[in-house]
Amino acid sequence: MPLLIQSADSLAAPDTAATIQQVAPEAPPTPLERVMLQQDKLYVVAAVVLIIWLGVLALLYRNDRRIARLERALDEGENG
Amino acid sequence: LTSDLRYRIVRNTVAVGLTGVLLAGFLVPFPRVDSILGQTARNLFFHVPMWFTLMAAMAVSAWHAFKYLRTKDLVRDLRSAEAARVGLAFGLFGITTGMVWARFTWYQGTGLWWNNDPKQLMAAVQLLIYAGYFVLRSTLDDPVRRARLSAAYNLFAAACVPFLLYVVPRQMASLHPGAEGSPAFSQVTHWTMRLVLYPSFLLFIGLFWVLYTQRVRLALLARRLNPEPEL
Repeated sequence: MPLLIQSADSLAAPDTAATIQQVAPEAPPTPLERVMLQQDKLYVVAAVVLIIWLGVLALLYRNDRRIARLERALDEGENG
Repeated sequence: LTSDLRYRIVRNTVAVGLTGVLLAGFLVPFPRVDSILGQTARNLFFHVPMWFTLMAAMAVSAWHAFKYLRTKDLVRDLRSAEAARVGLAFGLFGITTGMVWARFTWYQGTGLWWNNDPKQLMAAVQLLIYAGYFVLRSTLDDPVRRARLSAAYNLFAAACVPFLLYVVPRQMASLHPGAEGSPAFSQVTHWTMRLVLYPSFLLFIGLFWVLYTQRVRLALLARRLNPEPEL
């Protein structure tokens, strides 16, 4: 985290990101990185879209639960 | 009935439009501006609208909180809470997508999923403030008291948004455009990208509105089935 602040102090070029990577420790890519960096990092975009899709699905399921609760309450109202 | 028609128009526009944004987001050509971004520049179409949607949602939520304090109408409280709930979901999408984006670009080789970028940190604080809103709501049983206190808290939370998401992070070094040491959005964003980005903003906000309207309809139904005692 301090690497980000340090890098900006010595920054002349408009590309902060490039400076950060110079400062970042060089490590061999992890297996996960090897997957994600394929196709010019297109997999990262796929992951981001997938997160949003899964989130929307979660909202869908929540609504479903809520509808089921209302249906049960309606049934009870009719029978009781 | 006009509101029903409006809902259907927005819903169908969002369904068709977001499908287009999804396709265009993957297919639109753009010049490379940065050696680190690569294809992840496309995340602009998906990560950034999450935050604009959060801001729109929280504006809706704050508006109804304000109207609650004026009118004492509990439907306003219900709308305020549902807008904040869906808005917070978009905030969670925003912060998770940001983590994944940074992890495989600027923080590739470091193993850092959380890098304390000022904007990331402040956004997390903002989400916690809104999480506090729901904690507050869950601790209050009396609907009128809950509505009054949470409306006041909601206005405080909304007042934090411009500072935590804009003013403060822009003062510090950050990966985000417009911050110290980062190029401005207008300098790095090609017009072909804007062609996808601007509709994406509107359509994700539309998606919020559809989800929010569904939640409100459900909550209103629940109220009719099980009316809270008027105090």
